Amino acid sequence: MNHLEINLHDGREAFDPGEELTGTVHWQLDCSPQTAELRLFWFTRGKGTEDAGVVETVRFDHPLERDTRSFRFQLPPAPYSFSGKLISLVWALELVTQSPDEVTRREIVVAPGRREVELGTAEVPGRRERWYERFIRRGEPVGSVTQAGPE
Amino acid sequence: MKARDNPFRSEAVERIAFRLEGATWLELLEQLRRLNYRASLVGPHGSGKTTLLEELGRRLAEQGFRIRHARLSEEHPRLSAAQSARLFKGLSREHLILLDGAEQLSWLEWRRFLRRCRGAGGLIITTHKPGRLPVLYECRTSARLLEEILSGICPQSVAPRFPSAETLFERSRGNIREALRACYDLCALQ
Amino acid sequence: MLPQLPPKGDIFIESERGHSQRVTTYSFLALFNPRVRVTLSPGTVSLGQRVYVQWEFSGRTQVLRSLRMWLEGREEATYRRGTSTYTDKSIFAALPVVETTHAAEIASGSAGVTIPADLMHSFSGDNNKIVWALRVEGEIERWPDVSEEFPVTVLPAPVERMRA
Repeated sequence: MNHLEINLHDGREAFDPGEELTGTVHWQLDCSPQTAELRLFWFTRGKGTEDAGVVETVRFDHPLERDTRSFRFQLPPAPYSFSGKLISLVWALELVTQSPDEVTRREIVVAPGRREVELGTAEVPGRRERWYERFIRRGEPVGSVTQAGPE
Repeated sequence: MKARDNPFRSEAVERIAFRLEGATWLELLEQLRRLNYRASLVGPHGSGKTTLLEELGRRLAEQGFRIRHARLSEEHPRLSAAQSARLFKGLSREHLILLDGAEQLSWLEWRRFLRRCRGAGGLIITTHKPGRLPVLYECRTSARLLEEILSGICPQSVAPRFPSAETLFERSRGNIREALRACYDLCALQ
Repeated sequence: MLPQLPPKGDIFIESERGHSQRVTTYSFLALFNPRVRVTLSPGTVSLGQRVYVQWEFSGRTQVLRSLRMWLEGREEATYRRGTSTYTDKSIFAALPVVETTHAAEIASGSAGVTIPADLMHSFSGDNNKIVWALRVEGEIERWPDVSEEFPVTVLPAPVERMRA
């Protein structure tokens, strides 16, 4: 059975921006893959259409059927991992082999203090409550407004 | 609730499969063949036309067709010269063009588009009203359909605090997409 | 008769016809409003930094009854599906800069505001954005209010400062 894994140095999963990220990747496949590469990237999740950005890719030369390689990335200063009401930005590493096509992903946090930035909601004067909010309202302030698009 | 945990996030909603009613996929594909692969999917906003078109594209690709997608919206109602060049370049009988939002084209633009598609093996469009190509499938929504979708993705922890599927359906004027977006906000308030 | 205006501070825009016409009239009358000029220093701001805002109104400054200025941070998520495009906004920070009813303070002044270090810097994806902006609202009796927005780019904290 095909198996891929990404191991981070010291088992860490959270990093400060600009830090160095090191670790090893390991795979065990039915046959030697044509290519094997590790991508450092971010993507968004939430109410909007997803965005993504690949920051760096490491290509492993002459990959064997069963192999272990080490890697090193210099993390950029931004964007931070964050989560709000509408958007989450998630950092991840993805190990991808071709022929056989396999993929595994490992999510990490890249933010100051190695903690994802959490965004709440600020109270905004004059905001109109939407009709469905009364079903779930608990009394906490809500700052979300919708701008209706062409429909 | 964080955006990435919201069960109604865009990526999760787009994974909801289209529910065919009154026909099987096999029957739909056979009907499409009979229409010489020139057909339209008709329905109002938020009734699943795009989802059906994408699913149809996947199934036709499995049959060996080479699929080319084009999408028009109120924001971008025309294809750029570069997009047109890519879409129509080297068309052959094995190519199928899927056009989402055909109602954005004026009558004249539509005729021109049809002419440029002549070399392709087929053209499937989505549109709000019938009239441009024979109707392959009419997308309809109902409170029952919304209820089925909600029961698949709405977490038990928030479900009791939700308005009923009938209320959501009615307030969203039958637009399932709008209803699911309202559900996103309801979860975000948790 | 003066047009019926949306409530103060409400940035909800509806697409229905009647409301759009009111917004158009509102925009026209607002052409005669006092103009504000704001200066931010330093010009580039990072998270955790203090920024100074200087403002100066020109034109019919005396008609302003009150002035409210704040630095706003918000999420903006755009969803494109089928022929529709939707943009949602959620405000996560509203940092007060000034709120006054004194004529002299309204006409010109300066104030400082610190951007908390634990928030998110400006970010611009194709569909998802973190927007920072200086919002200015001046109330005018029986006339469209002054309502301006000035985009501000908030940078991430310098890596050296983070390490320190």
